[in-house]
Amino acid sequence: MVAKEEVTISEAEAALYDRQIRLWGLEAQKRLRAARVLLIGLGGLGAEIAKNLTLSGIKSLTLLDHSVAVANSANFLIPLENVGKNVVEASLERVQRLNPMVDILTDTENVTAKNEDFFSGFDVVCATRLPVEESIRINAICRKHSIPFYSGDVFGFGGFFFVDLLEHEYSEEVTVPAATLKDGCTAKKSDPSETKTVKHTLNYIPLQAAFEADPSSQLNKRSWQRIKSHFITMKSTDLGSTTVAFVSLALASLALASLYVDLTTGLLMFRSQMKRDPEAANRQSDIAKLCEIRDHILHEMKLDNQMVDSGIFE
Amino acid sequence: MADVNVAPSLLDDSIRKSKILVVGAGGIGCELLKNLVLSGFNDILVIDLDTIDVSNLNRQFLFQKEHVGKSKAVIARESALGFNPNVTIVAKHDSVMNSEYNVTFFKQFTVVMNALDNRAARSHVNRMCLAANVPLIESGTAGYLGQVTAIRKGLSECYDCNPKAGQKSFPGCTIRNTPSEPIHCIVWAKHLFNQLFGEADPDEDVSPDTADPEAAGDAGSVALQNQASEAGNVTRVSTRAWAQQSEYDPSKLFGKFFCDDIKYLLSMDKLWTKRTPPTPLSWDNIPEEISDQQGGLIKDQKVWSPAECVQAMVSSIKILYQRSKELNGEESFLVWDKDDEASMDFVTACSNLRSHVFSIPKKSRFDVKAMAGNIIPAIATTNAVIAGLIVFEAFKILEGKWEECRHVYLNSKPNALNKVIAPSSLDSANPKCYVCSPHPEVTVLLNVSQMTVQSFEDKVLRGALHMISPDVMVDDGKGTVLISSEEGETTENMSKSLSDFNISDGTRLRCEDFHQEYDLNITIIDREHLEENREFTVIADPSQLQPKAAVESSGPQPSTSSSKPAPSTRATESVEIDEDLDVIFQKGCANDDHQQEPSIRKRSISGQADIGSASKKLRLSENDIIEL
Repeated sequence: MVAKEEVTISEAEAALYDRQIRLWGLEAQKRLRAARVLLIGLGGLGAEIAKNLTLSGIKSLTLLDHSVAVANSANFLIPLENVGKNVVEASLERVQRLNPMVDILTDTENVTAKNEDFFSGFDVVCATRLPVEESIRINAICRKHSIPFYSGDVFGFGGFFFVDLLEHEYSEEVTVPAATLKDGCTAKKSDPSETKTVKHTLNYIPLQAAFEADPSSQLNKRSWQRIKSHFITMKSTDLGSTTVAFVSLALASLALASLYVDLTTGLLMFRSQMKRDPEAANRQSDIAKLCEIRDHILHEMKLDNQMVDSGIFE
Repeated sequence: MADVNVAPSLLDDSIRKSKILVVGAGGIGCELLKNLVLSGFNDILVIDLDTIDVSNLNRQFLFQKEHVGKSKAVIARESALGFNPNVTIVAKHDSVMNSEYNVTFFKQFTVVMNALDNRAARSHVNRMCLAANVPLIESGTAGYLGQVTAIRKGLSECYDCNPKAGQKSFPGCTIRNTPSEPIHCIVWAKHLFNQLFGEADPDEDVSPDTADPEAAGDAGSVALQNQASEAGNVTRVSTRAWAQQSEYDPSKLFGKFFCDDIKYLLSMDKLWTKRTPPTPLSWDNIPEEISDQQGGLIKDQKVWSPAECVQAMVSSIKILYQRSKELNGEESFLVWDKDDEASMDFVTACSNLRSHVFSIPKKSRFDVKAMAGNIIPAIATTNAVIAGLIVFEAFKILEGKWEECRHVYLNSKPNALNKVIAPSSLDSANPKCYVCSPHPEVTVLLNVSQMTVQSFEDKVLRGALHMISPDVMVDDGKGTVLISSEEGETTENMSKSLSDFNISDGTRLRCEDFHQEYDLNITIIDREHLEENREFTVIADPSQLQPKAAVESSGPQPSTSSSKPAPSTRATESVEIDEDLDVIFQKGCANDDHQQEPSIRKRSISGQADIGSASKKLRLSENDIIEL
């Protein structure tokens, strides 16, 4: 993933990152220190991501967004006097101030104009507010270059994100009660249990695959109930863990993933048709429009209209 | 200032009209202020007693390097106004526990949001909000974990409904005579700091404890004890006074603490029959150790050799002595601060030298700092998530949808129900809560002949029960006033023991804290000796009174960071109070017998509460808990 150059942490960095080094360790901080991240889209969500990444001490953060800063934006990195400029240029100063040790780079081009060469220069790609086709396209490019890919968005009180970490290895500390330790493991006399490190591998699926599954064939009522109640809440991890579950549970879970994707597609579809998100000012007509889109999607999926009631859109 | 569009118009209105109190402008506070301003709140008061430190900057993003040393509340306000200059934010560089912030003060707010890092303040704000009948949103974070919950008088549990685990404390003889772990040496070194430069506490003696029960019974040590008491009678000089005699000569200090005192301990043979005896160090012959440590570490992560320890001890003593000389008048003592280089060097050096003496593994300055300073690792993202959840709870409260409020857990990975963010329903109030029940009661076990009135006020009423300015009457039919919150009224009582007021087994005390509008009845149980040499034990639920039941916190507690609520004006005095979150649960792990049981045990008294306790038990085992 991240190039393992021999990186040292300066005294100044050690002082600044003290509290987080104590959490994830010096090794992890060094890896962060070497990471070049691309962030696409600098709306409200993008601003939060930019803040969190910059504070963590990555090597560089490239901000890519062609849109213009408007008033009343959820992007708190834009001072009022910068309204009217490109969002990335408007936010630059405040982002940089969050952590002078990180290289903050700006790019005001439209992401659709970016080709493979552009993305291949990053260690991680994070995207916000992407049309589905772009998510699929960029995910595929990243896959080709073994680059982890995140794409997400928020809609009012809800949101989602998609994660593709390709073949992801990680380790976990597991506490094992002494009784279950196998022979040959030495347990300290004073410990009633032992902590050991277990290695795991997760195989993620690309976004494309989620769209290609046929949900109607495998979908059962129970999984649907779960989705319905979780739809509006931030269930990003469910999406990720669903792709994980794919490995062991095959099609049923894939159907779950695809349903999620199809429902959020509904909101994305609204956005691409109306050129804006549903808003309180146009409450009645927007809900009607969402219902129309819902009907369309469910019809495509060969599911009952009743399964998604308009209460969700309130 | 965007998403005002999102909320239905009624909520919008409530937001705009509300007045919010944010207690704390640190990790959670910075994120919370940002969220509040962006969500359309426009009347906010933020209070924080602390100043900005460089270690805050990895997450308290309203502050930059140039703000180090300045007031958190003041700078947070300035930065937040940058998101919307039209919002009204009042900043108070002050302690929320000051008398200025009375119940009337709290009543002006629509919602109070805690963004604190210590129990004392949380307990206090809890009481004030109960008294003022204002909704409180409580929260906390530690590493990857976090929690948010809503507290409303009569509708939910309050902060004190469930007894919190007491802070870890060690018996005096372990610290003074027979340390076996690095933490014992670290606590000793902090006590040494206080004895030499700080506010000397009789509970923090660093010299060998001749009254150690383990040492008793041996002819030799009895003789030595006699010697000691003779010597004690002759030269009863405080450690500080003794050090001043030699002008804090490092070789003399070294000689006493790492040589003479150790030889003394060796003469108490009984202590060493089953333990590795200590080896005294000689000033002229400090062992050199070859370091075989890995490269690529932070400077602080390298473990010092004894020679390096001595070097650090010498240079830090010089600095600290100089500093204490420069202080005159009342403030003539230093306060230990983990972020002060000399203070930290001193403790690292002395604790490692002591570890060397007792053949205990040494620790790097990095690790000593964490243990001595009770550092809680912290990152930006956990605080960001929790601050977001706080605002969500606030929305529900503003909409009057109390039934939708939840206790929300942020786990480090998906729990059994596959949730990283796991909401659970609020528990109802504990009918026997020692704070929010109609007639709060506790039982305190202590030795009535030994406990002084002063100690009772400081350690029990303020320390354990979090009262601010208590008034105490003995329930003896005569209305005997034990403690008065009015200055000077009961000064002559302070040095007397409780038994002097005919307080004995079963005596009830009526305690009132006028400021917190809090009345508490205390039943005293006289016990000559308590577990682990504690001075007292507080039992929240008297029906659990058993010889061994110790549910609440007990003293003496090790002095970790200063709990003075006074606002700090100099960077060297500001103390980040990371004292609390020292207990972290993992699923299936039994950290400490006391932790989970109390909250379940007490609920089994009324049959109805059993259901609640079962689901609570499930919830506790399902989620990563941090104790707020």
